Amino acid sequence: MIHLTSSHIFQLLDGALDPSEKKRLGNHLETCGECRQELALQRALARSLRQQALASPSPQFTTTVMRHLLFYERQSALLHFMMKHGIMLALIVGLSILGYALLTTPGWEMTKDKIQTLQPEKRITQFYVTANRELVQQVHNAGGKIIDLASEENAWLFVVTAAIIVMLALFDRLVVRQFMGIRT
Amino acid sequence: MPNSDFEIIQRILAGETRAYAELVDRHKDRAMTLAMRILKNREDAEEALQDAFVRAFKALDRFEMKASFATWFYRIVFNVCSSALGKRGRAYGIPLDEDNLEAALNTPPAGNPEIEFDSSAFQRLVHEEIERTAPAYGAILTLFFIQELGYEEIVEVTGLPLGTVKNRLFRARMMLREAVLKRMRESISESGSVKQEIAQ
Repeated sequence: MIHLTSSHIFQLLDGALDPSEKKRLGNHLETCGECRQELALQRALARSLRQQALASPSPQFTTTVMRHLLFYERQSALLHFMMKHGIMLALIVGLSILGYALLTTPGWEMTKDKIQTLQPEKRITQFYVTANRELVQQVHNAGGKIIDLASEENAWLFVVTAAIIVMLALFDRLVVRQFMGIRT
Repeated sequence: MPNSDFEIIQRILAGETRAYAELVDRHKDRAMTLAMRILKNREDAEEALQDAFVRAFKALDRFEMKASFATWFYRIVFNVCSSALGKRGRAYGIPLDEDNLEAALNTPPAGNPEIEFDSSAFQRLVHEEIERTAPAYGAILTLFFIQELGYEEIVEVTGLPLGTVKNRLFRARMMLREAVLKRMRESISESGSVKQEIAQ
């Protein structure tokens, strides 16, 4: 007599057989004690596996996990702030340092009074021209040479470049991160 | 009526972090059972489970609400435990010694020793044998019988191909069968020899 294969028995137990196949195997089981015994064993094993007691972690487990999470949240709040304002902060700090360095140069000091008499919209271009001249002078003093580019046109170029940097920073924050799925 | 996993997740994502404790309480036992089957050590399993819960929390905003949280979370547990096993120098894979499987495949379905399948002794025996099963098989058996996942869900959790999952589950069942039968035969022959000694 050809017995049922283990695969047949598992399919029967898992309810994975179509009705005609199930009936065919059922007919065999009616006449075969050995296959009935095997089916009973596999059924008992499956039942026993399902009834196995679950392993529980220690009683303070949930509290420990929540403590970890609160620590993570505090950490991530700082990270979150940096992600949100980091680029802007870096720009502000960078430009401040640059501004401070230029404002404290001797050339600037000499012409500061003169610049303050200018119209407000002219001040920034004059500031650039003065800084540029000072740079040329410093390089010259150090034995190098640089072409003097100081002009009002270049000053506007400086202003436009700074504006583009700020716009890129805003674009990064508002658009790119949305697409990247980074929550800000 | 208890809140569904989705409702709890929505509360967490809305900023109610403490609601995560409900999810932890709901899933910790089944997940711990899976971790124990893979790592075979209570302390390691608990540590891995803690790590898995923290990782799941961090990734909660990427969880798709159409999927089952349990299946998604078991995948994290499975990955964390597999990595932990790797760190301990024990790769998550198939053991070389598959004597039990060979024996099971060669044993005809007849000749099971007489034993009460419903007895607590049988239950204990199965428990002991499943504890001894290799991680690769123990995990599949747990996902199928304890977590009651289907083949497709086990594929999702383990990342294994469907054919491998089916094959591994078949082998795991056969190896467990053979190991249990062997123990049953041993206990019957032991009790037989005790009876003989008493008769003499």
